[in-house]
Amino acid sequence: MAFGVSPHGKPFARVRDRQADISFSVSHGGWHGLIAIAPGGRLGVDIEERVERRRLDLLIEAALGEEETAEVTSATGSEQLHLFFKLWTMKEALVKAHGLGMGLDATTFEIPRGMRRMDVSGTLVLPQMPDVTWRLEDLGEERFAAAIAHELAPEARP
Amino acid sequence: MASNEERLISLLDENLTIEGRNAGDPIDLDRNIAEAGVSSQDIAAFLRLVNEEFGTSISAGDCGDLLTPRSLLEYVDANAA
Repeated sequence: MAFGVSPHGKPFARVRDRQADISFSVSHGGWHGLIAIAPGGRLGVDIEERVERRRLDLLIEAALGEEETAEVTSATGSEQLHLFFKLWTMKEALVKAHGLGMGLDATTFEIPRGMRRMDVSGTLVLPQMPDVTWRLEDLGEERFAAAIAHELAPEARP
Repeated sequence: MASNEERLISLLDENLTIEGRNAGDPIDLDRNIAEAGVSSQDIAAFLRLVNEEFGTSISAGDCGDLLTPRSLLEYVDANAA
């Protein structure tokens, strides 16, 4: 097995010089790593340690939509950091799954309201790609935020 | 006054963790930071910081062309306020 990279920087597996029908994604944060492998459908994962960031305002501006920003900025202390990293990892997982790298501006879509609160999984359609449904799962715990985004096969869409 | 290159390197040093680079190592001006373990959202936030520092107006659409420190420095040299 070998690895190739798409024009936008997304790695893929190659077997006998052909792109293999498996998807994978890798992330690391602090001392933790996360690897996901699936038999098909685009896939992205992200993991981040929930630690104070120097310029949270810039990170919010770079990654969150209008409603998400309002919710994060109205939260305080550890609750704010918890929500911020939850949204950040879900959005980064989607950006990685999507495969366009910097071509997908994370501020142009929002995580479904239920997942911003208590739901640990849900589905999402990006305005830039209306014919694709993504399944999102929040894998986070107290110290780490983590998420996985996986492209649903047409027959599995809600 | 510090040059644009010194200011940009200092911003990089303070705000981004580049895979495989230890603190104090020289920054490779031609290394694509998106391929050096920096997430796309961290890059977007860093470019906002560059806008703040240099008075530039790098937009989301410009990001893909400004992923090496050298390309960013050339942009800053040409567009800094």
